[in-house]
Amino acid sequence: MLNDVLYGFSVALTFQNLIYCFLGVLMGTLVGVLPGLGPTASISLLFTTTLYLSPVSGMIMLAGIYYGAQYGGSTTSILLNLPGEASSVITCLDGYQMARQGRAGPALGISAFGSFIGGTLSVIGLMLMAPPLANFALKFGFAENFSLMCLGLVIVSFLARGSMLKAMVMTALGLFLGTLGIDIMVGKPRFTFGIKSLMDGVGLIPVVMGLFGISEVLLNVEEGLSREVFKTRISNLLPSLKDWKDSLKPILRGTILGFFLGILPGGGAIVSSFTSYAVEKKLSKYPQKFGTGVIEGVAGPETANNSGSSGAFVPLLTLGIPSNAVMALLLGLLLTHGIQVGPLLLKQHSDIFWGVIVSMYIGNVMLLVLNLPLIGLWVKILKVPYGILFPFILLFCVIGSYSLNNNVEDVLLMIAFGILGYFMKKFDYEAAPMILALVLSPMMENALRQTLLTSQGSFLVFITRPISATLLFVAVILLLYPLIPWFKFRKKLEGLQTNQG
Amino acid sequence: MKKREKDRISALLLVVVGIAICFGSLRLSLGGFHKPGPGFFPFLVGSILGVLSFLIFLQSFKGLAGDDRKAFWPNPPRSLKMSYILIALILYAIGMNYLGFFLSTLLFLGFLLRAIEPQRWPAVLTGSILGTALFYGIFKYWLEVPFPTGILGF
Repeated sequence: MLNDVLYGFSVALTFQNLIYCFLGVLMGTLVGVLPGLGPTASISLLFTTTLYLSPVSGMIMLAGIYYGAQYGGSTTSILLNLPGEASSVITCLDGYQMARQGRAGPALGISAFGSFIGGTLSVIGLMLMAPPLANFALKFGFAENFSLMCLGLVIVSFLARGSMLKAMVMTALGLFLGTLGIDIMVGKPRFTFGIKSLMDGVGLIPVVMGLFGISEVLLNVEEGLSREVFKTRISNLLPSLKDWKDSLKPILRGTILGFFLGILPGGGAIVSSFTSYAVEKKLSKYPQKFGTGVIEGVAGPETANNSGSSGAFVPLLTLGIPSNAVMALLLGLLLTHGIQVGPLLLKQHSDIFWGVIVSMYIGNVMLLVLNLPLIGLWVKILKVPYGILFPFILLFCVIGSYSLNNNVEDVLLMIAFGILGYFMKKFDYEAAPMILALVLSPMMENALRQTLLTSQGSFLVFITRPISATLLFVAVILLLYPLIPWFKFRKKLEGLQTNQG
Repeated sequence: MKKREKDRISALLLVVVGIAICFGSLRLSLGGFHKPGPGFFPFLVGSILGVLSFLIFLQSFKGLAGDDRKAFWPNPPRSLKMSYILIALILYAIGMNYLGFFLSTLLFLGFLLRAIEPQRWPAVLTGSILGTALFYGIFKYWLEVPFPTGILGF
């Protein structure tokens, strides 16, 4: 293990990779600060440029954007009552109140320190947990993989913020979109309608850019995104001793909670931060004070969302299954480089595995340095009006999708998904389950067809093989769960989200 | 529009999509369980999509769905502006092949900066010219993306 970590350092500490790590966390902080541009959209925007880098450098940079955005997102929540990221929504509650009481400094400070502690401790968790899990997954055949992906998609729907049924419909739509293009087994084009660029299937990047980039701009312009920076002098970023005493336990709890929720597909940063807030409120001696500016309400969730973003790497790096849209993009990056993603990644591409993990330590240190002394700069950037920002976001989307295959069809495909995303938002359908399904679809179909070929058409293999049966059993329980009225946890969580989010 | 109305409309649309997928898959040939064909998986997914959407449709009749009466387009002038962006995007994508990347980007940025949240002219001009030059430089010369040149030759 120690050897592996040292090897990781040797990869991450090369000059080139340090630069990309820095660029990643810098851009992550930037997009985290800017409302209306999330990590998913920005990673898909920069996706094409990273194709020119080595897979390790590309992964390091994109990962940096992802966890960097969790840092930056808290800044806007605290100073503007406007979450830069969905995962910082809950920070608004107490963070903004603290800012109004003149305690913006400690609020920003504790979220940076909390993020740092959560970020680094959870990377240790990732290091300890990934290798054994990957070893276990080596036993998986086609049947197990199919069941695992089923379970993954069911969990995504289960944890969806809105209706579970709607999330499942979006999953089915994503699975369908994944089948477009030439059927690899018989070489027959499916649902391409004679469009040339659909022959290779629906590209992940135009879809993500459309759903997260374009539609977000359309909605923001329609709503007239206006913001006012809370005018306060930010002084004394270092939390006091009492602040630390109040925050220490929430930070540690947030780390553990965030990490394990982050592993779950569809979990990640958003669910972890909400859950951490709920837990802290429950355990607090003065729950009625939550929402009036208590530091625990900032420390816990801000730690949990960072920790959750490291947890999200576990299923990707060990099973090859992305747990959220960003992980789907990272999977896409590895696949474009022709890298086999799955339990063998750890053995065959240990430079990617350990290099990326160690770069996250380094990135977290960089983030601490970037965020605390430079807070004034980020506040200035906040003042860039959206009217100037959005044309450039759109331009980036257009160029990014164009440069994938150097043709306009991909751009039009992206715009189409932008329109679809706009209506999905209006009709309350979530995009994330669709993205995950789109990525998993070809693998799922292949696993299903291979299983049926070897079993001569019998579905029994899925339940006679023990691992597969267990996975499917859990999936069925989750599917039946909405019918079990006495299981009230999710209701409570929903209540919390709608009341306070 | 009430939430249940929104659910009803979207669910019906999705049911139609599901049925269309199933018909399309049938034409691709399903194969059998022992040897699934190209239409097998799409058919499976399409039927799940259709059935689940139908459940959403049914659910919308139950009293459970919350009634947040919110207009679908609460602020028509702003929605109109949004549609300008969409039109500009489509024209930009198509026009690029004719006008070339440089000119079309200049027009695209200029229009968006001026027409949506009107900036002052100096800002519009510097923003669009500098922006175009910067993106052109990075993507054309550094990343060597072969942009369409159009009638002007650049």
